[in-house]
Amino acid sequence: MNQTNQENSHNAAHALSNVRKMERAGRRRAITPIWVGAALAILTGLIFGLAGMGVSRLITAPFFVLMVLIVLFQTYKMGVLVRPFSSRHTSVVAMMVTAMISIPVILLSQNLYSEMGAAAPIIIGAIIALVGIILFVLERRVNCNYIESLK
Amino acid sequence: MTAENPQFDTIIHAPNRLKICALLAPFEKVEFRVLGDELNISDSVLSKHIKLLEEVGYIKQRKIKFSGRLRTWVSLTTKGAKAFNGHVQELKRIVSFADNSLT
Repeated sequence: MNQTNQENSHNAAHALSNVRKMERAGRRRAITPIWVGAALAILTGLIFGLAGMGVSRLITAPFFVLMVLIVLFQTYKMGVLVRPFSSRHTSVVAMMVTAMISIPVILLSQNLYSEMGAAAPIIIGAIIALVGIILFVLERRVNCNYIESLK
Repeated sequence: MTAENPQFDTIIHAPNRLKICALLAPFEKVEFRVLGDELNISDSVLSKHIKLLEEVGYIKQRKIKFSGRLRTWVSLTTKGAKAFNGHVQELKRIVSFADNSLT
């Protein structure tokens, strides 16, 4: 290998190292604090619980607004807006899957509410909140491991 | 990162511009102040690089008012993402070519 090729290779390796460093720095900034994930999961559970009790949308609407405000606050604090889905296709599929899961859960919750009372939607809401927190913690851990692998 | 054809890009290759693109690539948008903090360069130098990348259509800027302050958000365009990915592929090709030559 001649001198020029060796220099080119050295420069390319240095440039790639800079690319990895910047990606790592950006992703580290984008690690969402646990309180954000927990708050969003609890609010989601609360919305599902209230929907199961057949509570008016006017009462659940402020919780949606609060969720949006939390996401906005965190985004501006971090200074990076994370791409939630890799493509438009993935986001459409994700929304469809969410709707396909949410609607039966709410209907089930409403049916159980008429038979068992308020305990059923509260338990379902709590389960949803717990699953949300677990998923958030797992996703965060995967993210942290990926950042470590960029070293 | 999607697989692009390896293509050396002289505009992106400048160290600071490569760092800007590398920081923007994984995200939807990044705030101007974050770019300045991570690159450790002055706002004026950063503005120059961003202007050049914007002129070639690799990035776009958007000013958004939030809690009374105007903040600038920068994002990579589809053209910019393709050019950046192609450039990274080319850098990897150069490194692997050199590695293969040595073995």
